[in-house]
Amino acid sequence: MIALDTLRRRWPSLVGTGLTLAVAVAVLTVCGLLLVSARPVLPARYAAASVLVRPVPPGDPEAFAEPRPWPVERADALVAGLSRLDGVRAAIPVHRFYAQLVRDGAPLGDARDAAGWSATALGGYRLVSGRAPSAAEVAVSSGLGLAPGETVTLLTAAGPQPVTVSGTVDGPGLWVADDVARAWTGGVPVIGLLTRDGAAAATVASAANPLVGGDGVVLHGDGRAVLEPVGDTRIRWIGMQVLTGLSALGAFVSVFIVASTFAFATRRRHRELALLRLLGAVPGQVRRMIHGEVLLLGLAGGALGMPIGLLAAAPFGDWLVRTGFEPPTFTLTYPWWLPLAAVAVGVLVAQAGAGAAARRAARVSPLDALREAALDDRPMGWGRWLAGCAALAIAVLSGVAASGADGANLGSYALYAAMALVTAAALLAPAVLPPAVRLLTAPFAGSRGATALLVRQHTRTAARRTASTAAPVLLSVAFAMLVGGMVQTTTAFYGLSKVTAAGAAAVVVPDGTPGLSDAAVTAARGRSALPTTLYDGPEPLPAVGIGTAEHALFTVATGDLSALARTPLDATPPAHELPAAVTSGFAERTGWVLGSGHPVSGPDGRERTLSVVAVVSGGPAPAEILLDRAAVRAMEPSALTPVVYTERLAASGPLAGLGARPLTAAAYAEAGSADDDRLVWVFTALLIGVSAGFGLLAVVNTMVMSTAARAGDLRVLRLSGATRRQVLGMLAAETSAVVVVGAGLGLGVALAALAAMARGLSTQLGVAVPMVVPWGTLAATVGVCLVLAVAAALPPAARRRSFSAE
Amino acid sequence: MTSTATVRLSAVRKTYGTGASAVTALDGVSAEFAPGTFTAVMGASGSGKSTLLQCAAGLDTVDGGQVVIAGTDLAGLSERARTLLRRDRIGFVFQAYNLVGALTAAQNVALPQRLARRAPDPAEVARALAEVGLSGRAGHYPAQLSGGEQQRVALARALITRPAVLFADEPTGALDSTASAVVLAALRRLVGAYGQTVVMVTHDPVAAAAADRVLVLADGRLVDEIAGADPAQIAARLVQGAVAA
Ligand SMILES: Nc1ncnc2c1ncn2[C@@H]1O[C@H](COP(=O)(O)OP(=O)(O)OP(=O)(O)O)[C@@H](O)[C@H]1O
Ligand SMILES: [Mg+2]
Repeated sequence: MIALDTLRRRWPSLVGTGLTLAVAVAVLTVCGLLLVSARPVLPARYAAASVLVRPVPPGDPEAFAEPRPWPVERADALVAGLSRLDGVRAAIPVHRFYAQLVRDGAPLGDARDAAGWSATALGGYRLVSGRAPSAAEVAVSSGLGLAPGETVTLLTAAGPQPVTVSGTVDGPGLWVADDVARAWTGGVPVIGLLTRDGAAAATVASAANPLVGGDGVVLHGDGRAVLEPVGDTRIRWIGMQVLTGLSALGAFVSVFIVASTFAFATRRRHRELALLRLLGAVPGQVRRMIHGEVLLLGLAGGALGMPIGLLAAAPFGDWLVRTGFEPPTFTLTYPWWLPLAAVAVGVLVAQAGAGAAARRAARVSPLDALREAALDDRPMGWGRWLAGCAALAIAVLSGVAASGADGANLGSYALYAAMALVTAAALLAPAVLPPAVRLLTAPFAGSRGATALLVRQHTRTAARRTASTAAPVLLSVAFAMLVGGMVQTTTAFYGLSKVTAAGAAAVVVPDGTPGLSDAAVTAARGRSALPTTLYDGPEPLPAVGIGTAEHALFTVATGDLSALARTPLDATPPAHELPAAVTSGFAERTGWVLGSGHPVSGPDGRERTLSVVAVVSGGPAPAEILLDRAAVRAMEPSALTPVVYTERLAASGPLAGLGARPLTAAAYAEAGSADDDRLVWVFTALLIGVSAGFGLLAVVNTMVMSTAARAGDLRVLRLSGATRRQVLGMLAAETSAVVVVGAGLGLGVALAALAAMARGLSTQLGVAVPMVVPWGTLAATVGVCLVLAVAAALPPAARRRSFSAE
Repeated sequence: MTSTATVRLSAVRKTYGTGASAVTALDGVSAEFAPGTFTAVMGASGSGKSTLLQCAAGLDTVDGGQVVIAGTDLAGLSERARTLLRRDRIGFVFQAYNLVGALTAAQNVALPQRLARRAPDPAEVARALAEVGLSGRAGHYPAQLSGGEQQRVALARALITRPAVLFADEPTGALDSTASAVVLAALRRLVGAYGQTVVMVTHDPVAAAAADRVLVLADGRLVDEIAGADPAQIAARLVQGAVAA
């Protein structure tokens, strides 16, 4: 293989590229392993139920909403039917609601919900001591160290209440009397079947199917894992975004680096390639030779990167669980094919990167072997212009999309925007960078001294080479700035906007609890919204309940908000009329008008007619459907309030023991209003870390290559009387100049994009959005680029033996 | 009409550029190179010698006339077909830059065979290197060889494929007289021992004297043909021609 023979001599110039591919394969291996390992896990509390029945889930799994539960009556009918089936020992409906133990104001244990006592059978849990709970009693996990008879505080959606421990159980969780649990929950989210010995789960499941009909889904075996908590599904989804984002970034940057390395190398080897053509290599052979080299390089990179990835996967997985990108049930698996697939992708990525260079190499004319041919600095073709401008357009569009997104989507859009921007920069660089370099080095024109003169002349005359070394610096700086700035601008804005929109100076937020109980809301004395979920068929419709105190926050376009409060609450049979206000955006989208009625199901599964009594406009609303707070509470007894907006910082005295704490608006905006923000932060840090890491590899790579390519120049300099120190000083100064040029351009690109994004946000939301520029990130990135570039440029020059005077 | 010539050019024209800046490098050149003959091409700088070689070797297309190599008319051949013809029937040696820097001498010699997907025979490679007096240098890289040694490696490479014709463009241009003599002797032996056809461009009457005949070019035209002359005679004829022109 000719490729192998020539590689043997040329490997020093390709070390950087090989390392890049190794890092890419390591990243792909880690992300791939974590992606295939991230699967839903059946909660232990259902482990003993070999068949489980649940209502039909929403069509869109990314809605992350619990399926619409069965109303209690429907569940009772199902339970009666299911328990009569052959092989079924018992059918147990699960009533689960928010509850947690507190002691001295601090959470006790991990349980954040409680179920009826009968549900212990579904987990196969048994009493360790004491007896089953009756009213005002609770059974707890034996691991908590509580003894029967002790009094503890149980925090529910209503507030804290003292209860007596009736007994301890050999599993995690809290249990109350069945009718207590039933009173806390609106509908039934799942029915578990305990089968008799010898009855096959599959047989029971198929017998249950006709009975349940279109009203539910019968699960058995591994299929039961879909019953994992919705929160876990959502976390896994976020984790998936992060991992695919990282993989895409790794692959993308590798293509970029391989492409530039091989473009450079092909230009340097022009005559050698011509000679091969002259000696009878057909164009296809030359192309295959380049691809062969890249294959070897990719395999070498893979051989290095794969074990690193395998070793790094477990600690990285643990870290993801700790940061909240994977649920605690996450366990790492090692399918044998995955590392191989990662190497294969690495090789493909390398081939894709080298494609252009290989095509260019195949076009080399054999005659060029006979000529002192100058390098072909062809002007940019129109195809390249077109592709560059298209990438630029995609970058702008993604930036606009990012400014409208939140959560993990924001990170993804920011990433796509940055990727498109970098592609555009790479494509347009030959046209844009040389004039930019000339412009930026103009200030040095007046300086004296040989070093300044040489630096200026070199960067100016070799504008193209300067451009190719400045490109990776541009990549690192623009990427870090853009991703960082984009996320900071957006989250800072959202955090603040919610508080200011509520006309508040401070907030009360949950402290060690998933949300605020009614007692905490009352004690906070502010404005809040109680979230719930309505259902249009199986599809969730997020809604919030508000009281009259909150009405003033909304601008009513048509109708009257006070009609919300006229919800008939105590009507039996259940109230059919549910007054609601909708946002003007929602009204436009769905065509719902004032006075119209729409069939929906409540969070308790009961059918109701939603009647539109008002349309509100302006400002960010907490949800698109507004209901009366009392109506929400009636339909969903264990709903929790996420935050209360207060006029001044609430006193902490009344909040004591309620799992709540006051914060100033500024502190709230900074800390992030939700866990989501923290996740976005970590996501951002990861993206910046990986992209900057790759960018720095590219900086080192191009510096090593370009110094090697200039050996001749440097030798002439040395022979014409420059001391070794002068040559090295000149190289260092020149490298710094190039880094500064690249950083300047990257800063320009990022600032332009950030400004456009801030303006987009402002017009979209009608509020002035300040642009946040991450100066710290910029300083760090440029600093590291500078140090690495100089460190990479000098050794090849210093080592060159031809420097020693002869 | 058939011809026994390995390479035949008839009324070949070659023009570089267009319009006012057009240069006619070959202006109706006809020549035949018979099997087993050694031809030198001479002429002033810019007279079209290199162009003639490139056209005869099928490296460049002609604007008029015909080039036939080993019975194959080059007109109408695809780039690929011309490459394959070059690979199988033609060898090259130039003034400089003959070798792939990343390959050893032996690997360079075996290169044409590997490009043709034939397994190179190490013994054959060693014999070819021995023939040009480089037995001990098989593992050296071009950067570790002198200019004359590099030329001889290129010769060995041309030798190993047994091409129908070997083209050499100023192969001794960068060498001193001793090194030139070694290279010329190797070329001569190729013709004598293997019946190789060789076409060599040179400025050096001494080198030209190693050939069977000398073609002289001036302004893209064939102006003289000298057979079996010694260096002094050749030099004299060239001066004559220059004076006449
Ligand atoms: N690629 C080219 N483009 C334009 N003109 C060319 C090109 N190659 C050669 N020429 C011109 O064609 C003419 C013949 O060139 P050629 O290289 O054949 O001369 P030569 O006889 O080999 O000269 P020398 O002895 O200097 O090598 C010259 O006038 C030269 O300038
Ligand atoms: Mg010439």
